[in-house]
Amino acid sequence: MKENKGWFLRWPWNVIIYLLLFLVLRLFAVPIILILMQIQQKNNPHGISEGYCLNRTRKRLMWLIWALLVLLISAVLFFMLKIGLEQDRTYWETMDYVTLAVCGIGGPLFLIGGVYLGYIAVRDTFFPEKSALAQSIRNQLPYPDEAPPVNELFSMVDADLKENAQWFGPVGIGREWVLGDKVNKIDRIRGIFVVNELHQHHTQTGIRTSRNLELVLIDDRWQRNITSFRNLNDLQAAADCLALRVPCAQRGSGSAGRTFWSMDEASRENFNREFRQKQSLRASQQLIQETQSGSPQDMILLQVNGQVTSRVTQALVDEQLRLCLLQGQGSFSLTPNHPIEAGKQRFRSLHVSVSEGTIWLFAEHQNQPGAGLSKAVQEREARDVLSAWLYRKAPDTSFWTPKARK
Amino acid sequence: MAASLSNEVKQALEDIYYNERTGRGREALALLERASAAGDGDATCVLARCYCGRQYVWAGHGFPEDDHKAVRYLHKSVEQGSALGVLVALRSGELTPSVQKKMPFKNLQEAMDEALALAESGDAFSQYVVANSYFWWDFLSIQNKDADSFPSHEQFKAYLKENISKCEDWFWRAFRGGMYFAANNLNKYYREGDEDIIAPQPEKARDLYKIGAEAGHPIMQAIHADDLSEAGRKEEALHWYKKAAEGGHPGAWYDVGRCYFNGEGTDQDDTYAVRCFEKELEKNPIHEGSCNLLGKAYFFGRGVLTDYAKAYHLLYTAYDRQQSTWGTFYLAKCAFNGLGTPQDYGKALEFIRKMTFENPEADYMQGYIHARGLGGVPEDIKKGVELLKKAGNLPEAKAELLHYKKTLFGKWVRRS
Repeated sequence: MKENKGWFLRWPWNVIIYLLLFLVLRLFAVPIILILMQIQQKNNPHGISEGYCLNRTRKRLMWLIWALLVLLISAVLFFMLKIGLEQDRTYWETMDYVTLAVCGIGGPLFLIGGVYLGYIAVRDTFFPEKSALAQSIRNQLPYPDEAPPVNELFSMVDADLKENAQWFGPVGIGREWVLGDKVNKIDRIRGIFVVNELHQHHTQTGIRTSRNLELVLIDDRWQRNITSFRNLNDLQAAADCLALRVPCAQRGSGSAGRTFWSMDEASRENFNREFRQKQSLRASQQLIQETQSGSPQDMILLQVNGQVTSRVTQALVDEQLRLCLLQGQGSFSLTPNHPIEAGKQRFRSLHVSVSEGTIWLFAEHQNQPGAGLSKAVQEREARDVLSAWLYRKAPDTSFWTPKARK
Repeated sequence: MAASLSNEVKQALEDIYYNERTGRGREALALLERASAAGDGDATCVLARCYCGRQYVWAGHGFPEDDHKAVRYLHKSVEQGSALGVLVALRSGELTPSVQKKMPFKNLQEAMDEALALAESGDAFSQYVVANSYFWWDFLSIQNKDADSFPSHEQFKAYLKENISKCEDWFWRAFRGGMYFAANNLNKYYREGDEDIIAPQPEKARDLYKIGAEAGHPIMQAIHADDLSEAGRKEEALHWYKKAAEGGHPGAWYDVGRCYFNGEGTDQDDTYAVRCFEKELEKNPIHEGSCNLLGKAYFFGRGVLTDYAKAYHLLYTAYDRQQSTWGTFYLAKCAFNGLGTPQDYGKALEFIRKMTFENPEADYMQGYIHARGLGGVPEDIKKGVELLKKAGNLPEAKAELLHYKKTLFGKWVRRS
């Protein structure tokens, strides 16, 4: 993903601006804040400029709002408890005592909950090394207790996502790591489950329906990471993408996930063993295929005798040069399947010709067929250039002259 | 006017038609040219046929097809007094009034009489020429007759039937004498009859090519093998394909190779199949079937080590030189993935468009190209997504589809 050069607010200024807007404009600030958030997402997608992981932990600051709500409820319950305790209970009925009990139990509970939410929000936002996200990364390493510092942990995941990520809503899937609400290492994933549940609540005004969309990933240590989604298509696409990356992983719905999660130790061991067997089989099949096709075959040799081959070896190339020198004339060429880049230059082919005992090298430009750079060289230099070319390294053309081939 | 053919012509006919397996076709051609230059009209007539292409002479000789030369020699054969030349020119529509004036015969019947004499003497080529004169109704011109020459249509039909039916015996005599081309017209005579004059007798045509094959004519062996293959008798077909190949019939080594490549009539043997294709390509470097199947062998590493550059080169040769679309799918894969050729999405698209069958991988490649706007086509994500979806459960297509999503307004866009 490339960084967008548009304007955006860096943390914590975005939070400060949102707070100020809310304090000044109250509810009227909400649409403005939403627009600002959209601009942030457009110009700094997923927090690329600060780091994906850091940006994700800092989003936990939103939990402070929930914490405040919960504390507010706790305060109300304590207030109701105080009022209740001060009242004359002579004519109280059972429901009144129940209400008092609820306030007495609920108040402290909500207080604990609110404090906990607030603690998590502050911890993850201001102390990322203690955050749940950082811990989830450590849990994916072979020795979690010996994990490197949080900066290194985050940069490891950020680098992979920056280079390779595909984003599906809140989830970014790189080559090695998956970033959701927490982090998973792709090769450790054993279960991919999609929760798509509708909940109905009966209220005084009618029936309210809410939808629960979650991606549940279970790794080989049976650690479970859940990421909430707002869009079903994104959720399905993320699950499909991971299933393609880890084809041997268990896949299913929420209930299948719960069953998988609750497997006993023996069943887990069985599953892991079968998983490793399937993976080995796949790997060996791929190896057989690669062995049969030989070398990468990313180079095409047009030989002295006019035949072509993509089974190009150093020995074969050397033989072509030897034949040309023996005859005092002749030519052959090496064409890569993708152009070879050298700085701003891109070459499509390297032609070698021998004329009256002189070796001529001609590097043809990608976008100008027939035009390129040429040089007369000694045998040793020709061999060096050809060897490097086989490894897709362009020669140093500083002293080569522009030429057009006939 | 010759009462018999010259020794040179007899020798040439032996090497070109009756015993073509000797492989002395070129020598026979040179012999005919010398005899023709010396004034032998019959040699000139046979020489003309040699330049008329594979419908008139075995392709295995490798004689160049040259209509102008053929016509020139035919006219010359008439001038040189060859009765056979006159009949062949009449058959080919080359006996124009000006050419006819130069013939030393009083009329066509005189030429026909001389040809009949040669045929009666036992020469198979002459028998074939005479048979053709009856088969193709040239006797009308020769005898200077038409429908008006008869009092009734029935009598005319009777006359036609009497003459046309004479071709059957002459064709058989020519065929048995070694003039294998006679079997083609005999086959047509038996299978189709002649309008409402001669009724078809398809049962008589059944073993014609078998007889020719058993007589050792490579082209008959190949045709007989084709018939057997079509009838599902693959093992026997392979036996005759091998005979035809050993006799030098063009394309027969390809047929043998194809049988081994596909396991038809024998166990699959890719290595032997590859050798057969290579033998065919030594004789004809642009043989379509051999280029295609050998290209496929190199593509998949069957019987040879995988070599994408060789595969591409062979398949492209068939595509470019023979307008073959058989290998366009593999060519598309090569161009798309940069296998054996520089990666070129434009070329991949060109090959895919020439494909004659549907294929999920082709849909995936097309979808990929259109969605990303590669190979010179404008980016069209909607079209690309449709094609990727059409590719069904192909893993690459499913992975590529994940790069795109539908917005609230129904527009397909690339995911960030």
